[in-house]
Amino acid sequence: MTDEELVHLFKTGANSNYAFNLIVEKHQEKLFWMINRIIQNHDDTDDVLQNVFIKAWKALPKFREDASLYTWLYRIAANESFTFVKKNRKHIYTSIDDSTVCSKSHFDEPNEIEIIKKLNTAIATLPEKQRLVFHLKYFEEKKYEQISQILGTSVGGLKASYHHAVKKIESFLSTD
Amino acid sequence: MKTSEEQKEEDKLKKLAPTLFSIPKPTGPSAPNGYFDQLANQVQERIIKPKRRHFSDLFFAFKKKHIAIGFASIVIGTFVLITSQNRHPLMASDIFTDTAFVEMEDMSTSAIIDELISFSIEEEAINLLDHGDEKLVLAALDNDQLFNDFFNSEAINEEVLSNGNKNELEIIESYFQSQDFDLSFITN
Repeated sequence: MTDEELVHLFKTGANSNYAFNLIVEKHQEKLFWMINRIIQNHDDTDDVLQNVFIKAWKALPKFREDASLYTWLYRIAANESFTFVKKNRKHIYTSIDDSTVCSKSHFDEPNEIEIIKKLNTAIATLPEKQRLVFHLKYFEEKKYEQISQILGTSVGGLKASYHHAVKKIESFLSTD
Repeated sequence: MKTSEEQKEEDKLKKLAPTLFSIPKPTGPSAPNGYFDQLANQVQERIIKPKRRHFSDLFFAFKKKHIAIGFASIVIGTFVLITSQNRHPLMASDIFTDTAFVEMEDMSTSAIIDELISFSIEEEAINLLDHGDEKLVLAALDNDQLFNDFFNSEAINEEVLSNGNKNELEIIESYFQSQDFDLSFITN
C-alpha cells in the first residue's frame, strides 16, 4: 500500500489502528536508523522513535499532505532527535553503544567490520545536524530537495554541509 | 534516476574522498532480535495508555504551540483564578467545568500541575475547559510570535537548563507576567 493510501485509510476512521500499524511497520527501520545516527544509543533511540510515532498518531488527522508522509515523519523524527540531544547532551556523549557502531550489513569479514566501525566513529565526530545531512545523503541517498524539506535548510546550505562532512570523514579515515 | 549534474557532483566527491566512497555501504541499522516486530504493538500500547511524565520533561517536549502556550496559560489562568476568586466569583463557572473547579479549589498550584499531568497534559488538560471556552482559548493562543518569543527567550532556556527541575513554574509565570501576556480571555 502506498503512503497516500495508508493516510487515506487512517483518516477514514474505521481502520485507523490497522492503517497506523502499517505506517509504523513501513517506516520504522529507516526512522530508527536516522534517529540512532543522532542519538547513538539503542534505548534512547527506541524512546524517541516511539514518541515520534505517538506524535504522528495525534497529528495525522490534521496532516494536510502538503509534503509526503515519509518527509513529514522524518521531519518529526529530526526535531525529536535534536530536542533530545539538547536536553541530554552530557549523557549522549558518554554512552555511545556498540549497536550504533555495528550497523546491519552484508559484512562478515573482521576488517570490513572494523572499517565500518571507524566510519561510524568518524560520523560521530560531526555536529548533529551535519551528521544527519551526511546520513540522509550518503546512506539513504536522498536528494537535496528532499533533505531540504525534512530539515528546513536551503539546498545550497545542505550541499556545503555535505561537502564539509565528506572532507572531514575522509580525513579521519585516512589517518591511522 | 540521477541527473547529469548529480552524477557530476558524485564523481567530484568520489575524487575528493576515495577512501570513504570505496567502503561498501551498510543497508540499515542493527537492533535487538524482534525489536521491529514488536514496535507497532508497543506504540499502540502507549497510545492507549500514555506514559506518566514529569513536568520538566513536558517543558522540553513542548513544541506544538497550542499545547505549549495552552499549558502555560492554563497554569497561569488557574493560578489567577485561585488567587483572585473572591474578587471574581463568576470566573470559575465562566471557564472551568464545575466539577473540575471544585476539585482544584483547595489544591496548591504545583498539585494542580501534577493533576493536569496525570490526566496526560497534551490532550486532556485542555479538556478541563468547557467546550465553548476551549475554542476561544485556542484561538487566543494561536499566536506564533508569542510562542517564538517564549521558546527563544534566552532567559527561559538558560534558567531552565541550568536549574533543571527547579522553579520552572515561577520562570513561566514571571515570563508571561513580564510580557504583559493578555489573560483577559481567561479572566473576563
